[in-house]
Amino acid sequence: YTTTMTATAPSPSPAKRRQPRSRQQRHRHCHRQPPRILLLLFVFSLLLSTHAQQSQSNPAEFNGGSILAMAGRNSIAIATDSRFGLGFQTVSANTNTAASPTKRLFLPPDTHSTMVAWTGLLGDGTTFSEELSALLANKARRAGGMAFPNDRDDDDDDGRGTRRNREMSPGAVATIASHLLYRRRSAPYYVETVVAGLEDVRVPIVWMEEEEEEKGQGKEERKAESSKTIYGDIEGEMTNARATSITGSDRVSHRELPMQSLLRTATTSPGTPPRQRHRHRHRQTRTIRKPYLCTTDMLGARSTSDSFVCSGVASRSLHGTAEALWRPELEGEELVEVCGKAFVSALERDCLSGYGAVVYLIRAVGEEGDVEIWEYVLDCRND
Amino acid sequence: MDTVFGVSYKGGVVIATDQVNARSILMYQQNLDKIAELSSHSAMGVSGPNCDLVNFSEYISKNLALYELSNDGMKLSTHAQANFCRGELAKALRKGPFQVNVILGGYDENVPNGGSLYIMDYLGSCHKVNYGAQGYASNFTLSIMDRDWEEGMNEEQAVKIVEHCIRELNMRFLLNQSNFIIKVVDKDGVRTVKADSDPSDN
Repeated sequence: YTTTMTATAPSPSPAKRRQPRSRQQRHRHCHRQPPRILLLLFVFSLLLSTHAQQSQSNPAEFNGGSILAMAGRNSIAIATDSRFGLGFQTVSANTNTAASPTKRLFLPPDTHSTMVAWTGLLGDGTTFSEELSALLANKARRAGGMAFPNDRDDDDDDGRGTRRNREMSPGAVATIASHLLYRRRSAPYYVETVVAGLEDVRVPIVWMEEEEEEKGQGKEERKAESSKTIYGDIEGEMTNARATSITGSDRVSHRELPMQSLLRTATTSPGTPPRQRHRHRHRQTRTIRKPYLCTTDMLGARSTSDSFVCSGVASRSLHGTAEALWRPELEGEELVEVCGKAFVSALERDCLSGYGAVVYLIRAVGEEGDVEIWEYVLDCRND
Repeated sequence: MDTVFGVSYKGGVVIATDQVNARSILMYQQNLDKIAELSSHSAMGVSGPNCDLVNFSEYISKNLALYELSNDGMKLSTHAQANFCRGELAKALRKGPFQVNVILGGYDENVPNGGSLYIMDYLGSCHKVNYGAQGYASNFTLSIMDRDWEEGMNEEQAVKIVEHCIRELNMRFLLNQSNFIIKVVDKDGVRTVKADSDPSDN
């Protein structure tokens, strides 16, 4: 159903017309053209109605729903709303609670620090989550003993960078989700997913002493600035860092090259000649839990981000609020608060999302790669 | 055009549908039973064109019966039946969709409230609800159910809500659906509480 607006030429103002002769003719003339403001209102209302009607017929927006995921320091907050509707009508407001079997957000099998959430058509989304879960469970089963999420090999000491807890990384889950969606290229699932999780990443530890000797003044400032890298206060934690064996360190450092260069730029001053910069006495690495955020569109095109990703009917507003409120190095409850605030403010302006918001905090605790997942239920407008 | 709605209470569910079978300006019958009994303790109210209505409800109920026969008399829970039904709707969606919207209700012993109600549409979305309505009836009846439904009602109160909805539809709905059939699913199974007869059957 489309509406066509025929363009009407702007009519000249009455003052410029020739004055009609008789009183009857004057009367007829006054009623011939409607005032321009009514015409404008008519056009706007038509535009509004067609735009509004589009959500009734657009499968991706028919059931409503939005998601926002934000990255913090060693943690991720992912927020979803609880509305399930059929166009304008709200059917239910408990889509993500324990009472409802249809959850838009779930923990895939064989992972314990990744969450997958989706927005779009509820039927397709349910089918998609079932497919994804079955595929991952199948992989876990086929991989045999290598894929149990709680498997901790404490004697693992070969230093080749094998992970302590062998689970599927969020990047792998995102890739699988993307492929599952693209498989249906000809008749796609109207589902846009968000994959959020904590990835194990090995990061080299840079010793600061030798550089401090060589530079004279300003070493305090440089020290302060150098200890704050994007991965947190490495210098402060260095005293607690366990030295892992360094056989094959070349391979490790080569693989970690992009991150190494990032650390180098953060820890050295611009004026130092390159040779001095690269001199490291020890090559030690430690594993950090880096947040991974990825969103896919309904055909599986992935886009990752270091700050936040969003999806759903309120995504336009979510991009704005999240961009405004996000800052790096958020942690724990503060991250939940920032994510929740950005989410709820965007939801309040969108009629197809809302009726309750739930924020999940995935936080890395300890050094063994343990992960805690907390659930926070937020109040928001029910309209 | 069809009116299907259901209310769950503590100990079961009540499902009600209209009994009209019509096309264009002609009314074929006014005593069509649109609530299919799927198993001993579950029923499904279906709305949609008559062909899909009959075809789909027979397909689901016979497949569930086959499961019981093939698996040594094991009965599927309402949750499982609803998931099966949703799966069939989702599978058929991109091949030859069943244009039916369904409200499936059943009684299970191990479910806290006894009765559980699932609302499904032809796109394959399935959602567990306390009360729901499909079709144009939802515009009239959802607010009544929002207002009157309470946690822990008994069967009498649930049927009262259903009758309130029917009165409202008779008052305000454009289409004249004077005959309604009401079925209750509880621990004793599926039974018909009220079914109106066709005026031509006299």
